[in-house]
Amino acid sequence: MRVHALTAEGFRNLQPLAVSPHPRFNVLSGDNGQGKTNLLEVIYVLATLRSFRTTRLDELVSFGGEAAALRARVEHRQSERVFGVDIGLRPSRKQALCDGKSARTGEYFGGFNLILFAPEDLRLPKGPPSGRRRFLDRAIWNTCPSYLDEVRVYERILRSRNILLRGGPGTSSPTEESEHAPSRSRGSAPLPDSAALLDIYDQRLASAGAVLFVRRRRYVEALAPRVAEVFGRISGGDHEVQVQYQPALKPSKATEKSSTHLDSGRTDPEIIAPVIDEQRVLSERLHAQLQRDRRRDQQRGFTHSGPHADDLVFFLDGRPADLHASQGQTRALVLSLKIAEIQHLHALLGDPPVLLLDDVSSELDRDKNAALFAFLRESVSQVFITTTDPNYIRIGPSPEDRQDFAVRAGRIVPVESATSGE
Amino acid sequence: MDPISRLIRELARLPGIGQKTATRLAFHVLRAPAPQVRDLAQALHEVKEKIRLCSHCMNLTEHDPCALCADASRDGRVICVVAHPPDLLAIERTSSFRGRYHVLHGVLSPLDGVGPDDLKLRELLLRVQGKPQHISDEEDEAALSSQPANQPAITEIIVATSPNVEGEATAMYIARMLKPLGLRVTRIASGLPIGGELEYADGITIARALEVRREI
Repeated sequence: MRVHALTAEGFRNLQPLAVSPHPRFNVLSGDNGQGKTNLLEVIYVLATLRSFRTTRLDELVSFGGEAAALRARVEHRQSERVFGVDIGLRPSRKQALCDGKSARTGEYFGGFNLILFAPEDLRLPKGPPSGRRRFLDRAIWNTCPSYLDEVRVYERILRSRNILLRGGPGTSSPTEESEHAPSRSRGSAPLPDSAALLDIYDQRLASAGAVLFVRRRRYVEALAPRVAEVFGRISGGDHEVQVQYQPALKPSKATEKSSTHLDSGRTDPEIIAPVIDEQRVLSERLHAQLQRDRRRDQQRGFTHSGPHADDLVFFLDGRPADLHASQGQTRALVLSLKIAEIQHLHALLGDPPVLLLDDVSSELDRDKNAALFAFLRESVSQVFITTTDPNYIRIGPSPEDRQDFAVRAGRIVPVESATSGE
Repeated sequence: MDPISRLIRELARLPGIGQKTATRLAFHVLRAPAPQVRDLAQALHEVKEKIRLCSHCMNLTEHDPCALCADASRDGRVICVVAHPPDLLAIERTSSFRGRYHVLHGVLSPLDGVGPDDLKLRELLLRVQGKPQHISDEEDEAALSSQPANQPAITEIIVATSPNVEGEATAMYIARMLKPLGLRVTRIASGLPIGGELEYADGITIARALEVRREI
């Protein structure tokens, strides 16, 4: 995938821009607050219809402005499409456009995939689980756009169940009273009681949750060997890393404690069975778990088990990396994770995704920077890099692979020749 | 309060209408010819006075029982349960269903504070049991006394709520409520839309379509 032309108007602090990015390396340098990351955000919004920094549309529009228009001409497997996003504030709206025509999300996604690597990612292994779930969700969504809807359905059921746990409608209404006084409504049979409603949401949550369990499990299974391989290369083979998906689902009673982290594919039929059967098995297990946990869930007012409590765990030489890895090892781990994500997506799409690197180099030491750029040179992806110091950017000896841009006060100006290549 | 302010205030209470639009509408009404305004006022009044719920199917109607429930050519053994009156109209437009309906006036939605007692579920239960239903908001003697015209025993309930989170939960609730009575409770099929493309369907839809596949 390559962005051949990019325009933006009314976006944050950016002056109206029209750039023709280089098919390989685009280096955006400038001081902080000049608009480097805003340009990455333009590309990100075009590919994903959302920002990685905010969920508020009004923050994306220039101060005092009322609308923003973004366009990118993107090549994917020898064909070109123009992706567009129009953002309006009065009324607040976001319109996706494909080749100039308004497109529904189902039609929009596919054909423009990107991966962002930002300084926040470096905190993934030691940060809260929510960050790792977000990483998983973004990465899976890239491989499968409909995953987003699956997550939304799950979250809606989860919020509904939590309300019922705390005594929502139908749990503290006259229905419950009629349980104790069945003669209330003119001698008729009462409606199913409040537990029945919770039963239904248990069932719905289990089946929606199983969809996410299966997606995440498969994704991590595909990613794990790549992470281990890349880490081995970066760390010179001195250490071993393992990535494991940890679904928030207690293993069945017979399961050993050692496999708590992932009892994926424990029984052979599960491996062989198609996704539907795998989903059914996990759905039944989550359902049983929810029923077992109901009292505790009701006492605490939230749901303990399910994909919303999943985690991704890293082991360094067999020990939990969040406790035992040094700062440098943690960074090498994240670097391996991101590189593995890129490789996996590339293999899956048959086309390299666009990469956005937001000021990452300043956070990596010399060796890891060298490893990162060695990978980037090897990969054939189009890359957008922001930096406060172009000297961090060690792309290598071929300046024809690189276009520098100077970013100042929202203006993005191509720099004539690559002066700081090495 | 002067009449203009009062009108603006009343209009602004309607959904989707803010202060600005209400003001514009109020001045439009003020400038409009008197007969037109009288027609509007009368229409507003009548819709409240004359439209009520059919005592059988809970659909909106001027006459009770409604035209659909009074139609002797329809099959009273099969009842299609819908969430809202427009859903009923959508099915009626297809002319492919000749049974009767039951309108719930909503779906179960904990997020919106809607529980079983907020819907016409008790009325459905009573109807299925062959007992007279009560109108929950107001005691309407006329509705209570109007007897169903030779209602046959109900044998099947088709739940036609939307296949989203709330619609599915409502369907399961109805199944739970009515299955113990020995009724056949069915759910309208969901899956790939006719004329749609498999490639763009989401995983849940595809999984569902596979699950409920049919032999050809």
